[in-house]
Amino acid sequence: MFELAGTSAVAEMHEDVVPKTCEAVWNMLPVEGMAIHANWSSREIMLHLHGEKLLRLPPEGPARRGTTAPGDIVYFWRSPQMSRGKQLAYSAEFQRELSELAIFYGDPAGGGLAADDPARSGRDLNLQVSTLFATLIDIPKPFAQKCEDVRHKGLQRLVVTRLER
Amino acid sequence: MRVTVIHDIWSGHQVLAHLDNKVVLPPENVLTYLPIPGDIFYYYRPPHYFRGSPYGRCESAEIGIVYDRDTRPQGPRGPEAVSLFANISSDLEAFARACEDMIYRGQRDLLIEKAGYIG
Repeated sequence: MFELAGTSAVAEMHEDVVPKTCEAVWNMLPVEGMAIHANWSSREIMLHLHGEKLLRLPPEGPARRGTTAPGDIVYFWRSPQMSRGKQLAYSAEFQRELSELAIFYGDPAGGGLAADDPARSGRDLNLQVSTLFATLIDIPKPFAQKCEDVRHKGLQRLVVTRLER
Repeated sequence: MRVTVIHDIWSGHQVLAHLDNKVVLPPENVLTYLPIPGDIFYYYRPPHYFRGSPYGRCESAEIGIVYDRDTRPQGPRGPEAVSLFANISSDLEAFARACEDMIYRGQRDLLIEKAGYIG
């Protein structure tokens, strides 16, 4: 379950497609941190994983072609030093190893065909992993609005917990 | 002109200000797909430019400011050509830091005024 500024959304994991990734994320929960909005990939917020929560997982499942749909939740890992350190305040984040959960909360770029983030290329070079491992069951409007608010108001605390059934 | 400026979510290192939609300028030099840091452009999208909701309904006139490399103006349906009309010629580094800070702190007010000749 994703809780953001008094709102929440529930996701289901794709254990049938990417069981190892799902298990690793499940075992890592709960996790919380400050959600940041994407700058290339449209309606997406990200939770960077740090310290003991950092996940370093191998690729799993079918190769993704950059397509996304509202509700997609992606595990992403990028090798350190893959992105140059030109970004200013961003530089520390870009230069080091990056592990994150990406939550697509709305209409993706290019109608789903152009969520093309220059910072997210390199799978063929083993420099990054991008695994779709869960999907929101639905996207409650209040939750989507709070995601959008991250763009307008800045970082917001996001809490991800297990929801047993 | 004082406007609210917001960080772009499709294009990379770029902030934009939505103008009054009455500011409709004809296409001119609409060739810029790959701007460089400091580029300032005008963009206009008429209503029904995109099919479907939520963007299809929306007319939009914008000023975009590119503050770092790896930027490509994009809309919700993909890359867009824009009308490049100016370039920041001084203090770009400090301005870029303020732009990037919007990723963390959200939108800001932007004042645009005539400076005259700066020798």
